[in-house]
Amino acid sequence: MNRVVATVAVLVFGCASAVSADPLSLNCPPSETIPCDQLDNLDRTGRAKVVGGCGDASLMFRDSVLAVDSLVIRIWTAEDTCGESAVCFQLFTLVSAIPRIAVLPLENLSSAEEGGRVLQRLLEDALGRSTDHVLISPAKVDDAISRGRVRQPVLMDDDQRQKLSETVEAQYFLVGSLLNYEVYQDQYSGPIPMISCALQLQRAHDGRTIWSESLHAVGNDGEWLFALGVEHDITRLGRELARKAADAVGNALSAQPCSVIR
Amino acid sequence: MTRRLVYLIAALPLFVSACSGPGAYVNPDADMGYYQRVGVAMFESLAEDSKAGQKLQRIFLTELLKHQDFELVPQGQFDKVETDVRTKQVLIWPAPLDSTGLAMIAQQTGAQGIIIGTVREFRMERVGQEEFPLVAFSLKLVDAPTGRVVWDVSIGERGGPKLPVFSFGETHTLSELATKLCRRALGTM
Repeated sequence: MNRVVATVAVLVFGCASAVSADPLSLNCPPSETIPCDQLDNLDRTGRAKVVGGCGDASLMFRDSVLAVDSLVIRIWTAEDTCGESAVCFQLFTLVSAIPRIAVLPLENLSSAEEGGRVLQRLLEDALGRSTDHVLISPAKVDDAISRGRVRQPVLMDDDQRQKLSETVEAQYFLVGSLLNYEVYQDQYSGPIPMISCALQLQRAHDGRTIWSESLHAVGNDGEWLFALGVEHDITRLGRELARKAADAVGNALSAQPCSVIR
Repeated sequence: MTRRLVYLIAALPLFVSACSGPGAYVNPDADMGYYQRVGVAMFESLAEDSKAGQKLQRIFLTELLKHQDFELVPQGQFDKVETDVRTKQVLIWPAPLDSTGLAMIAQQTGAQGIIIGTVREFRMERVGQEEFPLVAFSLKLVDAPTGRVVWDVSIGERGGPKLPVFSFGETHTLSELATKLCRRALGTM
């Protein structure tokens, strides 16, 4: 990094010595901290100002990611009609934009007909409580799924995923399979619910999975003595499992570097 | 005291067998580092549960993604290509893919290796007063262009207690046991 700055400084001095009266120079906008998705918005980040030189100067920039993922250096270059050039730098510290996430219908491999829909809604409820991401309205997702004729979201191909992400404007999809959703009778403890699922958080633009987990919950996980602490209600158990999934999704999202510098 | 020691020594093989790993074959001629991009084919189910193949495949995919040793062909893309190839070859699932089919899939998905799975057991089994899961399956990584086996593992376990009397190390659900076994199987790669 230091080496690059030194090299360009020589170039600027070289220009200055060649054009004595009104040398070409560049004034860069200030360095700042911006959300990831604003890096390409020049109205927000500003443009470098050309001073002096001869004729109309061309102005361009290129972005370079520094070793630390969240730092981007913008190198502005101006060149006038006399062939003189000038350079200046603008540094950005990127912070993640609030990600938009859609929970897609789960593949139901369990024996419970409505199990997939119940868990999907519980996941939406759990994810909707966080302010760290925006949950796309379930109605909008359902509509886009049926219009796009996506039969099995967990097995979407690239085209389906692209179209769906454009329609619902999602950056992430939560997809998965419900493996088990049932209640069995224990002779001592009574009804014991069991839920298992495999979930994945996928990036909408390339389908890459950034988090995946198999989650299991059994009603007597919390039993400590003679059926005390047993959860008998499958919906409450599902809500707890959904909360754990939402926490893990939140952690995975916060660990993501900015998508604009992928 | 001596008698106790004799019992302990007698019980040792049982304990060791309960903790032993799966038997895996790794082709000595294969360069495992070459397989960067792999796809996972549909798993065949020989178990009573007709959806056992799908269930185990989803659990395995989760563990494979967490393992992060491979770039995985997106499952939607792989399934679509596999279905197309089977249709072209008039090969009704779960008939095994031949080397031509594997090569066609590889060409269209860019996979260097393909993982094939067969589920043999996926059910709850009664042991005394309680029911425990029983899961058994085998996995194969084949070289996609040639169909040669690169890695093969067979694994199975009942989720009951690891020691008599004490309920130590029990696994109560099929998916939890399947997750543990998938993780163990991947550890042999």
